Amino acid sequence: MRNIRYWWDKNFWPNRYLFLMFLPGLLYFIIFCYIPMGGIIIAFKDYSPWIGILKSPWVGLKHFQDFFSSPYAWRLIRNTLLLNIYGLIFGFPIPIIFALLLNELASEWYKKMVQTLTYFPYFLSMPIVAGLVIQLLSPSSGIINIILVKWFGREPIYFLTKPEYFRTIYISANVWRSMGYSAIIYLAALTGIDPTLYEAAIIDGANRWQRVRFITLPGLTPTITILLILSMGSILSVGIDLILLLYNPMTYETADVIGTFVYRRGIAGIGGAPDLGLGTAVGLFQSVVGLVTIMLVNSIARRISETSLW
Amino acid sequence: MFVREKLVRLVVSFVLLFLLSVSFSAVLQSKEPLTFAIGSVSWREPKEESVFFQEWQKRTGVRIKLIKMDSSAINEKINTMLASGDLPDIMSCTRTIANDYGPQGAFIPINKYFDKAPNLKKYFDVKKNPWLYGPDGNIYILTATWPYLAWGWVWNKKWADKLGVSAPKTIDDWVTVWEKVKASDPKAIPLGTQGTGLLYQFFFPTWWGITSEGLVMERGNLRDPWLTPEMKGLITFLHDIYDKKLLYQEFLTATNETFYSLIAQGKVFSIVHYKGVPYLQAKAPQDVVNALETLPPPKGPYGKSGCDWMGPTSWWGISITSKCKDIDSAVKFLDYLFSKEGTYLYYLGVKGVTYEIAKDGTIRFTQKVIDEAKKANMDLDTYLVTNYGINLIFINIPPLDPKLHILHAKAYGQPENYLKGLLIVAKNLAKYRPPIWLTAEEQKRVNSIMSNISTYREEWVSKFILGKEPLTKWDEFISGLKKMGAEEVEQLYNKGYERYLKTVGKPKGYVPPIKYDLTGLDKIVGLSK
Repeated sequence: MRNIRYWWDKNFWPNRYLFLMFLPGLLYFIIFCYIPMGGIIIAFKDYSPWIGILKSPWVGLKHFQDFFSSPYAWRLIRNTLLLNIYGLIFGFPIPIIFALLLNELASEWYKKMVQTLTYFPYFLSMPIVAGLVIQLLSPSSGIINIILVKWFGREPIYFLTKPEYFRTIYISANVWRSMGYSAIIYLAALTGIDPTLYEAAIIDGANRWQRVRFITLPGLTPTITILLILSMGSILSVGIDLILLLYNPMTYETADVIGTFVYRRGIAGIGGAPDLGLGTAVGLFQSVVGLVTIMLVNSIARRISETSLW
Repeated sequence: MFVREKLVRLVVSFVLLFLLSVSFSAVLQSKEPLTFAIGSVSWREPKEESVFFQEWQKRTGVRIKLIKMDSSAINEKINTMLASGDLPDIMSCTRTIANDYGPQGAFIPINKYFDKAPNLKKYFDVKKNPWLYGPDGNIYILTATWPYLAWGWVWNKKWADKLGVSAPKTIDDWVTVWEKVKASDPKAIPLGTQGTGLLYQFFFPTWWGITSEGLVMERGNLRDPWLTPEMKGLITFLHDIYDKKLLYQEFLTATNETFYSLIAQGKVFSIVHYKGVPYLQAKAPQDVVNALETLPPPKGPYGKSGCDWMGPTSWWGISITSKCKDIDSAVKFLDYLFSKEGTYLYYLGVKGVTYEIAKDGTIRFTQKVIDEAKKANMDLDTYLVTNYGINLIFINIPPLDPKLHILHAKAYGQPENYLKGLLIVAKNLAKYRPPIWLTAEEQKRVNSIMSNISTYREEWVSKFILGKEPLTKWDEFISGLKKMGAEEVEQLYNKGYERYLKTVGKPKGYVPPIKYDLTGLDKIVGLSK
């Protein structure tokens, strides 16, 4: 009792406005994240919205069996993982490098222009991005094939039907679209670095490269680490809108991912009625894998650096 | 004394009047309007105050209140309604949802009320229209024949005349013509289409004479055409025309815009595609559009032919929920749309106000509405939907038979070559698959197997056509299909088919015929003078 009283007087009351500001966030998570978690039981039920979540019959692990016994399960998991891993290898560092480069620009005007130009594609909707990609890569009228044919005398390549090109196309399009947007957070982190450090370094005779290497990069490391750990949480999920727009049966081999499978099965599939049970089961699987990886990566990060999520 | 009596009388009469009015208003209130949750899209928004809804209520004496469900999230909306149990009296619904949740008690079996619905009884005759029944032999949703007439086999007549070729009658004739086109201009696209689905839609009927929803009949049993040797022939044929560059090389990935801009530039000699001249009209020069001509579908290698169509079951329809407070009125209300007057009201509005019928049977919109539309600077179609509620989508009932479809297209002033094309397609409709009454369990099993099979099939077929896999691997492909359960699906379909045959008391091999009246259309669209 005394403890609560003490907490109230010392902690809560003096900070009451901060707590008030914290309240909407807390409510958001309770209402939209914690309460709906109860719905996970749909993954183990033959769910019918009419009968209701609680009264729908239990089916045990049927939906999981359904997914894992699909001849495509392994291919789907592999493709999802690979797209994410390649995305991390190529897509993750580019905004960082870009932010660093931008930071080194002396002309304020030029810097702003470049930033706006690279930021712009983020506002294009996916169908437009996909349309651009299809146009660029068309074997008869695409600029890339025209260059291949006219300048290098090669046969035109029908890129979008070749599974070996799909990952490159997908990741490049995504990097192009989101590079400017992702760089913003690093640019914000850069402004947080104490300018006196740079001044001291200049006095000590550090050149530009050394300043980046020993001040800017270490200053960015916490942000990079946190973002990297967070991105591990979605290692088994990948944005499907661009895939749906770009893939076709010829490229299923590398382009078909868990999300598109659930989409075809649930929404576009034969029968048309969304198979909510299967969707939930797959979603649960993705989240569990995400949670395990995030914990793993976090503990590694904690061990080898000072930054970690918790 | 006298005054007192008068006062008493006055009071009594007031009390009586009060009671009367209370009971009267109670009677009125018991006739609360039926709630009608209807699918809505922004460009065809249903409006309660529109002539269509007002007239529909007036003629049936049933009052309704519309609840609009935005089409972009309509499945979720329906699911939420089902989950909360807060259902309207009548609602737009899909066949799958209605047939899934109907037997669970969410929707009423409308066939139980057919005695009070003469038009429904006539239309939903189990012997004539068995496709419209749910898996357990009940009707939980009113859907209707809505034969979406695809565009058919279209060629550029001017181009053909220049080459001096006559209209191909068989698929081999077509190949000869395409080869001539290619020989005269290596850059030309002899046959244009988009995606593999369209290939099925056009080549499937040519090989089997049935629509692409196909299941072929073999000695009275249903067979999955994919497991037959004829299918190998079809895929080989498609590979050959792709290989010879007779088929548009980018058909797998081209977008609508790309494909149609090629047509507009006059680079495509012949087209198999579901979108028609009206779609092209605004985008292509008039001489290109006018040169397009629909030909009767060619005879395939087995002497069969036909044009694909949507079949007698539309996807969307209307259901009456188990929460309906006045089922009799709801049935009466919906029954009206299946009468001739109701159908005309839905598609054309009110006679004398929005449309007139000429002596030869041609339907015309009145000069009044045409002028109004011009004044409002809208095309007629949009104007009639927004201001009169005519021809909304999402209801998908009442039945639109090919005759009305063509008359309707003419009333909207569609170009003559398009109308002729529609009639040619209507005259050559491919056969429709037999009715299959699966139980909900069987349907689920089929869906589960087919979701893998369709991925597998699409993948292999694309590879076969584009030549990434040789056709010598066909047997490997088929054994994969079988491993995934293609034969089990075949068996389930046969079970569902036999269930239907037992219900109607027909022998094996029986498929109810679908016939449409097309009399007088030749003259109306200008096919014969």
